[in-house]
Amino acid sequence: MSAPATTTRVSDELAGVELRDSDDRPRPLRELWRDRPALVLWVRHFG
Amino acid sequence: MAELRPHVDELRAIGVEPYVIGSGTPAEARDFQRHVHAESLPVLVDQPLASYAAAGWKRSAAATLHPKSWLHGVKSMIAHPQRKTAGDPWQLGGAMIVRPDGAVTFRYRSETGGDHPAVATLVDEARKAVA
Repeated sequence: MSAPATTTRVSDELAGVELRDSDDRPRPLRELWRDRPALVLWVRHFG
Repeated sequence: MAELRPHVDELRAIGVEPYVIGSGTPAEARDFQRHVHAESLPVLVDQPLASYAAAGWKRSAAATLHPKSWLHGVKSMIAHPQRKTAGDPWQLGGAMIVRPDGAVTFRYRSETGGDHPAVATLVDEARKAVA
């Protein structure tokens, strides 16, 4: 596990990824934190 | 993920919006939402695994099959029955809290299957992110 105490910035590469929502509509990752902080959890699999 | 569900409203009240990203299909994401009774929790999909790679999350059969993964799996199955794997079985996950200015105030990389931050930690870190 890793949880550094120092604050870093999200990379352009990550922010630029385009995801799909559960209705298969495009959803740019950077939109998740555009208006307020986002807690983003990447799960190993849906199961 | 079932552990997080009771805290979704708490996180939103703090001012932090929770999202889940998985590597399955949109249909599997909808099924997952129903399975964990978390229809209000946005679930997004990343089948190319681009965000996983960009975030630095591990993809490893050895880590996924690590003995710790079995222990986590048994505990998880007791707490919340697992179903078939929907997504890349070797891809591990992680967590981040990102502020609108792009600052990452919390980052956690899973090292083995089932390794994830405690919900209490996520709630504490959410409070810090808006402080």
